[in-house]
Amino acid sequence: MAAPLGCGYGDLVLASSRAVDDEEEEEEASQKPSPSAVLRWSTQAKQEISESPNDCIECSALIVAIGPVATGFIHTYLLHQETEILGMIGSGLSEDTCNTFEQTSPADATCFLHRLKSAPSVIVCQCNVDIPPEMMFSWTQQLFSCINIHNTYVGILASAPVSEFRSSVSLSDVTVPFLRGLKTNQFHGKPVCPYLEQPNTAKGLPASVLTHCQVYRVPAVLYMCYSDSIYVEIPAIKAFLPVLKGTPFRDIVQENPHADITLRKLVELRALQNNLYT
Amino acid sequence: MFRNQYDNDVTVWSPQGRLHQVEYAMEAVKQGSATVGLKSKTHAVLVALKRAPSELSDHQRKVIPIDDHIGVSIAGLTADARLLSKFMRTECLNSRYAYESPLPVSRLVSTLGNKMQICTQRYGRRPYGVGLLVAGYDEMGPHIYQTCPSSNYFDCKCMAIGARSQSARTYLERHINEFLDCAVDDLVRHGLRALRETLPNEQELNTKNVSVAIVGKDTDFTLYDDDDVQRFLAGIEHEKRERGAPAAAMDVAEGQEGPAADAPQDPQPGGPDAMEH
Repeated sequence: MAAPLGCGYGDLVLASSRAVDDEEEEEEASQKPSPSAVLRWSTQAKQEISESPNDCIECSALIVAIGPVATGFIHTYLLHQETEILGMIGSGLSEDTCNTFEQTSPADATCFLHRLKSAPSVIVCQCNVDIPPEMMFSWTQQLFSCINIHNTYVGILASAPVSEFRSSVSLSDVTVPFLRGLKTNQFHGKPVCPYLEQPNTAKGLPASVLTHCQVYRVPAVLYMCYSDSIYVEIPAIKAFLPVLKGTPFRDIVQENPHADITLRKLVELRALQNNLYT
Repeated sequence: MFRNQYDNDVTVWSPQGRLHQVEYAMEAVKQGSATVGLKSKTHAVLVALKRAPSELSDHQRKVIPIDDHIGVSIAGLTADARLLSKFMRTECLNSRYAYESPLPVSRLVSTLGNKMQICTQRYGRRPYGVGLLVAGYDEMGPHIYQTCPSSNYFDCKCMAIGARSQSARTYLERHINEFLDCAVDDLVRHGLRALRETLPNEQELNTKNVSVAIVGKDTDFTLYDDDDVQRFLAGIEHEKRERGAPAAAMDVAEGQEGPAADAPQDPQPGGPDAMEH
């Protein structure tokens, strides 16, 4: 069985093992398809795309939430309004991710595209799937494939452990959780929190989406929440609250009077799945 | 604390003389929910915050009885806690069998510390990722001990461990002089108030998420769960918390300067200064 070895920063080298017949391994390797993301539209969305002049869905604001903390925030403060599911991004026929529109629990490993019925030009992508590095590019390409982003503001929310945050200030002197922001050239204005200080970098899918926006000159802002718990917790979700006052959220958000109840249920739902720590 | 080339193995020292794997293991304790231990002249008390119970299964135990005179509350890896609890129970049973007397609490904790230390010094092992609060009563009186994945243990007047436990420790430090002469029920209420400080404002203590345990003079280690906890909670439910609202994370409206605005700024990514939106 081949085992990946770390070999230098960012390199991944597959090492052969004498425990497995190499010929079998080569056959398996040649048969295994390269991973790529697949975007499936709902019936209604397909019709809309086919009827549009440029084969795209109009979008004035695209919100991308990545990870349980960010998706929990969007689920509580944005998706309490009436929405419809436009599509989903999955891994094709792989069993790793959900490939049906029926699994809509906020704790499921799904990646749905929602549209607000009160604001049909606002699309929200809730990504609760761990996208492997080799699939991030195709995932990003799929996300932007049929969305007209020429007049779109993009907001990206994600979270990371505070243990990855490098700072000259001792972390015991910093209130955790906290927000840091990055933006593209085309995004005029400042994020509602401090910029992500060097040498910290955004990684993974949030970086992939932000880079795509930078390359294609789309105004986009990324908010990273650094928290110290592996669990989804209310303080970490609420750390995103200031972004509701910024672009592109402030014109589309409506107050949720049941936010606290929703948050509690969400945290309990996530806590049930994590029994490694007591 | 971030990755470096000396943190792959517990048997590797860093140039600064640190064992990173042991330090990482101590972080695991913070992933467990908070628990508080405190003692008076006659009793020792443990209160613990349980994670959300499932309707389909029994909830995860946070407080584990060890013997008639000792119990522990755990914070960290559940499986490691289960193993250490089994060890402690065996030690207590052996003492009763051999000497026909309960094992002194300090001796049990010392033996436990020696067991935990082995894993911090042997290749191929890892430290136990759990912290314990040991509450016991013996001939020397009531005891509260704290143990760490580093295998250190501390004799405490009161202590809190687990997620956001600093808030609880702050409460304990403010009221520490009141504990020695407290009645049992008041001692429990102090523990509950300290535990409540670790919760966000949106959450409250209730009979479903709290465990209480008491041991002391003429009182075997007794665990209270569910409705049995109500009488303790009734004493504090109308009280306000001591701390204010948690500091809002960068509660800054767009267009206004954030708190770090006066600090040296990183260059804005890629271009001329941004205009005000």
